[in-house]
Amino acid sequence: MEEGFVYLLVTLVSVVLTLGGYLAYLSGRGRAARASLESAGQQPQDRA
Amino acid sequence: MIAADQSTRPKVAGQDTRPATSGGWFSPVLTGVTLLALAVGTGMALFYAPTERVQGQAQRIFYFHVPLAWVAYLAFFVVLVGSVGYLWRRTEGWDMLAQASAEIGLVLTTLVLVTGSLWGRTVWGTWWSWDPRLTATLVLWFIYMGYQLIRQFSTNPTRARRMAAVLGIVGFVDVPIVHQSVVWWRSLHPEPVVLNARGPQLPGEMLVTLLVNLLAFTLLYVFLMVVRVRIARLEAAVSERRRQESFSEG
Repeated sequence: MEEGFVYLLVTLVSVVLTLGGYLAYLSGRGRAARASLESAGQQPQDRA
Repeated sequence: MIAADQSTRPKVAGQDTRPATSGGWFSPVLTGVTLLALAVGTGMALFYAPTERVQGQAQRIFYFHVPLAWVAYLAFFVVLVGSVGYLWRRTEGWDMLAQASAEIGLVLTTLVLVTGSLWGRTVWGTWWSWDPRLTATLVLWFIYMGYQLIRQFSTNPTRARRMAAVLGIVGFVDVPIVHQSVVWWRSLHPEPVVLNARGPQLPGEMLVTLLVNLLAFTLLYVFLMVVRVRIARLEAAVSERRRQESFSEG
């Protein structure tokens, strides 16, 4: 296999993993914020 | 399950609290168009564009490296606009725009450095060189990493926003320096082959492939901005709710 092709493959994997990781991070942050908002929204009912 | 989620979700005026993991946040049309464009762009880079005579397969890194760099410039331009808007209007929307774009720009610049390093290893035989273009890009990365650190570790949010906005304006000065560095100084890095005074210096198939990938990565930037700004709004709603609760308890 040509050496340049290996570097091309590593490039593609790096781009996919970095962007995929960033999306997963954003998704986690969004879920955490939503969970905080939901639990805060339920507190008045819990107290009642 | 979905109905239960919706019934318990608090309604916050002006805030988009739709989930990040469902179709609610990831707009189906934008997601589909972005994925399609990325797939077509990657397919063209791998199978449509001709193999370069000297560099061989490694030259195809160009179709990812260059669009990533251009979209990073765009991201930092949006930081500039958001920062000016924030210092002028002092509204949270401008600040969210700048913060979201700075974070995405940092991710893109990281990828520019990684893909450039991989390409450089095959073409120049080295992972890194203190060449003007590479050094200016690394400085750009540090500027926007500093921007993130100000946001992350400042104990005074208002001051952090102001400082970040100033850095977002001053930091943008490095973008034209990065772009022009190969013209102003002697550099290992090739001169621009598309944005130059003589017009595009690429064969038609290579130029089309580059433009398709540029479109794909621009769509990816828009997609990430939509998601990131929605999360910022949601986090702002959480902060506001906590502030109201602490007031009512106090």
